[in-house]
Amino acid sequence: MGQAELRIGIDVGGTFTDLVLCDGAEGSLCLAKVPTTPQDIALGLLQGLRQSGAPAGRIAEIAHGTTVATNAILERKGARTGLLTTAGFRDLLELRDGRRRSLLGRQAAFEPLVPRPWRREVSERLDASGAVLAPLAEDGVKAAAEALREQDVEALAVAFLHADKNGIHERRAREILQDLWPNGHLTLGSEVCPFPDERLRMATAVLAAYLTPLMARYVESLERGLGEIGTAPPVRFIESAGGSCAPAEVRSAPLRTILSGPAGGATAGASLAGLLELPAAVTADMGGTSFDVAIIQEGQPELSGDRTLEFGLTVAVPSVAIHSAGIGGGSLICMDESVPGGLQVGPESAGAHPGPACFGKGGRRPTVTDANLLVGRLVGDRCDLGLPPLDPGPAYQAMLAEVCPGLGLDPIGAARVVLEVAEARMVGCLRTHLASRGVSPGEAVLIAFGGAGPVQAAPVARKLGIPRVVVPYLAAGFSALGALLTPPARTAMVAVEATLRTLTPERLRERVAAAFGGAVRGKLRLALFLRRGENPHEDMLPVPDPAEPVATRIRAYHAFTERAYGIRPAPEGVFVTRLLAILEEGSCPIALDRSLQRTFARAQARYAATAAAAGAAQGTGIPRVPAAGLKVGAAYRGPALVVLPGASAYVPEGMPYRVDGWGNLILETGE
Amino acid sequence: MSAERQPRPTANRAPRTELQPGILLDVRTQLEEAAQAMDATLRQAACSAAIGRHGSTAAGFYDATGALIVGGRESHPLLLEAAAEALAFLAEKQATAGRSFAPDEVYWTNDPRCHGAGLEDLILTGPVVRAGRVVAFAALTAAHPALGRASLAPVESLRREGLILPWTRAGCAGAILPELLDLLAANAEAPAEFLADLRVQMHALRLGRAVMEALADRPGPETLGPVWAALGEGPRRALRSIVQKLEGGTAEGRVAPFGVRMAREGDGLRVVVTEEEGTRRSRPTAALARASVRAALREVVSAETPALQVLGGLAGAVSVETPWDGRGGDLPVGPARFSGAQRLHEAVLAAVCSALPHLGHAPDGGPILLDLRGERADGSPYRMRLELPGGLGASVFGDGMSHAAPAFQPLCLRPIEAIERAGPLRVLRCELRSDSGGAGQYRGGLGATLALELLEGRAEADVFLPGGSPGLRGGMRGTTARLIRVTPEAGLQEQAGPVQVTLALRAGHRLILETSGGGGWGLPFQRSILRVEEDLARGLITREESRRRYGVVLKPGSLEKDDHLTYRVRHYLLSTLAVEDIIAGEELLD
Repeated sequence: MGQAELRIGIDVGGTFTDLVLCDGAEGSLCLAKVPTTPQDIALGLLQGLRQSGAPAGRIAEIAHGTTVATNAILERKGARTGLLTTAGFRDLLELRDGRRRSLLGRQAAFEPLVPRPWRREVSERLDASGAVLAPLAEDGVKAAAEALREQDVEALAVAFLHADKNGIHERRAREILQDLWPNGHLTLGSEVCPFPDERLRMATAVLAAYLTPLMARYVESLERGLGEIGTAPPVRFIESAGGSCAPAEVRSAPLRTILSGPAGGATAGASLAGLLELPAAVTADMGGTSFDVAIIQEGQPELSGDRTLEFGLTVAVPSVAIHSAGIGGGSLICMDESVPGGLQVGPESAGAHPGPACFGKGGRRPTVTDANLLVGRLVGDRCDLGLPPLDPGPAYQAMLAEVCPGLGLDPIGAARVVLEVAEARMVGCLRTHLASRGVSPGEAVLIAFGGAGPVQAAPVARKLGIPRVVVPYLAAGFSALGALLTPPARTAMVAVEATLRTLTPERLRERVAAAFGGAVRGKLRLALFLRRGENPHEDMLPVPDPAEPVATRIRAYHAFTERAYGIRPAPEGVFVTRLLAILEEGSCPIALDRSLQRTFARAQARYAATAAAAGAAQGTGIPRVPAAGLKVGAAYRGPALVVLPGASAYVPEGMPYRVDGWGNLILETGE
Repeated sequence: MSAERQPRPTANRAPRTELQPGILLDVRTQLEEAAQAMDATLRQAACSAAIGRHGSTAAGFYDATGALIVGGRESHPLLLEAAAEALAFLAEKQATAGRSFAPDEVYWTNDPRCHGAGLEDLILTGPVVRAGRVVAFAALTAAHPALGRASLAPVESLRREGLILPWTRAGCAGAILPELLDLLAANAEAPAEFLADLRVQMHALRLGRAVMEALADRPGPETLGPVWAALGEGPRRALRSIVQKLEGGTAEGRVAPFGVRMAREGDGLRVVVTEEEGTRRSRPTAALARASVRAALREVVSAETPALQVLGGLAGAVSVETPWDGRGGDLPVGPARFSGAQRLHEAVLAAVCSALPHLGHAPDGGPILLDLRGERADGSPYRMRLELPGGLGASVFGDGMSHAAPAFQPLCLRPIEAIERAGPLRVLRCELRSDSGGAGQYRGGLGATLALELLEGRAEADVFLPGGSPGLRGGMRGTTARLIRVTPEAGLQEQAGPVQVTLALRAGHRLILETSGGGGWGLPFQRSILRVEEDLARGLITREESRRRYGVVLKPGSLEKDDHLTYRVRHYLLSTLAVEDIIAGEELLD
């Protein structure tokens, strides 16, 4: 490596923390992987930086996809949060919309993020148009805040009825609270979610308040840790919608990072789809715990305006629309012998500790990774990552003990059945979400990445009827690469009150200007959210050109609804509720095209120099083929285990495959 | 025994050993995912609140006799089983007439006389046929209020009338005949939206049917028959195991107005439903009653083994006898159409819980349904339906959930702002209803209170108030639903459920709706004092309730417990118990 700048992309997953280092001089990329440290994510991340061997003085930038916010919600480790709301409505957070957790069976009681004693009512009222019916009781605000402070409440959300129409009372409440709440952790519903639906606004404000102190501490700890290892590069955090922002913005708007990690993978997938000129693609990111799917059309990932993070917690947050199934390499397998078809794969995961049985860290329950290793779809050697090799012995024993008795098969046979079930679930997840966007599997390309994605991709694509799979050369660190590829951007979501017919280009431009507070310079990505009838579901309609005529937009929407739903709704009955705008304020810091080419060329050169011999996977006879040893453009046929940095791709028998100049492994699953 | 009560023969019974486990699991997972995709597509795309917001849809795959094979994870459990009844009717009707199904045909019904669920619940089905024989049916049911003219209005009102579609061949090649669509459009309140929803239902059915067609090609009908039998065997085996644990092979339960007696019958279970005399509550049709019993038993067998939740298989093992077999029952119409079936479902759970407490829960508090039709001051009309869920029943595992819809009435409350922006209404408060959850060692979930004021013009409101929900195992009844009308002329007028009323409202009139809480579980004074204190601190129960129901006495003017009095009161209450009750309570604590 020369003396040029290093840019580092980091993705913290449930099992591994991935780092992709981009050497500024050559633009070539390399991957490092360390186990995630769930108790203190920054610790693992800094450890990874040390292990990567990157000289601290040369680090020019860090782009970071983080799961800190997500974990805090799952583990309920956010701040002690209070809520000030309109008198008579403090229970809305707990009442939700009245849905059940599941349609059958007993339902455990629901615990909102803010317990009832910390939800305080204040006398004030606006009407449906936003006009003041009853003034804000300022003494009530003070009294409520003082009572909450006495109970050691750290963060405060203020959410009043109809504040989307008029935020006057919320803003006044903040003014009153400036002195009473010195830590400044105050969130207004009308600012974080300026849309109708008080429940959504209240939940969004509460969650933002709940995460603010935690994210502020995380950012501080990360910056301090970087200082301790002798570097202080600019850090960018990946936003859920696919842009990136500075630490100061994460401190003030932590919700932006709620889907930070998966957004990196989808961004990288979109960039690759653009590079390969794929009109429709679906990314499948399979790591240790989940199978995350995002749909890419015309080089852009599908976007979403709301996100249900768990039961009763739906918040307004612009994000890449990631659809998850609880199935990953670490998904635990259990067998209920009393049930035919009672084999369960996931959603419980072995996580980083103890991990799959084959990791040899004490795991005794079999996982999908163990099944893959047993049937020879996985290369057990992980020395390129500095990790011990996978051990088939414990995997065999775990399968023998947990699954074989129920299925009446030997461990290898049982492993095959496990993989069939796992793949059927992935097929179901992909089918549902492709159908929801009206994309036929036959016209899509599957971009598979993550540690386990390339192993499962070919059989899944074949079952679903997807004709081609692309496995990027750096599949194991693709989300971290995505972090590097996200440009600095401003993301805004604003309310729109129009129908598909009445939203003219002029009105759209006006809303875009309102979103960014004036003139807009930079690359703009727009999406509209549309609602029909009394259905709360919103369809996403990308707007490639804000100046496009209304008729063009109607045609685009009809093309979507015809494919997805089999209907052509009257545009007068289609309501545009929100506009999501992403303004890229800089270019992507690395050139993906050149970086991938150089990375692969360097790997090929290194391979040629060492003249590593192709071998066979242990006990299965499937040829092991280093990707770097493949000739670009030459046609090959499976079976093969194509070895990639930190991962391996499984090519079933007879399936044609090749590698392109960017190092992408291309599997022709349709042939 | 009438033919209706006989357990249906299970199609294609075959020994499980012939099957490779991989095929069984693969087929099951594919069908489960396909059913999920059908439900999801329909709910995402439909205009109506019944489908899009409340999720009243059910997607499933059924064998040639109509028995459920696999249903959607998020399908409406009653509609899923009701479709099985209707498909059995269709299969038998075709066989009796000597007609066979052709590939690509589509059939539909919403006719309770054809064993359909309710007037607005349209079942669309596509038989998958190979060599002239039905391999399976893909079916998708959805609630279309426009079709049933759903309303809470009195029976004599014209609004109550809907369009009845007996089992009819609705189309072929995956499309509905245009002339039938015209017929429906002419009879629907909002034809454009209704037809769009119907087309989406058809589109979603095609998605599921395509998966079944692919399976009929590979692995093929010869393999699928044994797969259906093997999948059904799981729930049957689980049911047998439960029946064996019933003392004397029988169990009884009662949730007014229904009683249920279950008894082992050969290899299966016989369920006899009884009804209180003179009841005026809604009574399900015989087909809905059978569907309701099976849905309850599916809940029971999946309580221990969640993997069974999506599997059918009980049709061949459960026979149901009702006093109204062959007589029809009430016509299931309107948003409260499944309230009777819900009560029957809870009676079955109560019967099971009498012997096996961990398999069920106390009955849920029903929702209040409000159908408001009004005119603004300028004469413009508006219509609004509001649903306010109650509290759910507690179980041996903990308190019930507050403000949640019962299993058969998947409703949800609109946002307050949406209510105020849609009509001349102001919501004065919307909050948890203290003391409404049935007291118990585990408390029933709380109901909710919604207070409304009509701001201008006039309106007519039909309101359905459910009754209270009994507790189980010593738990107490959740507070009954209540409607309070406050007018300048008559002051405060109050009505308690179960009742259905029609009210005339003018500007300034207020309505206070209070939903019922869920039933409690176990003896209230065996509730942990810590939990009672928590409830007090959160304002979920009052001091009076704490003292009277739970024996936890507070010091005057504070939330601090009076240890001495609490000990004495609880000790006294405990001394009033029979030895058996104490032992039963301790067993529950274990």
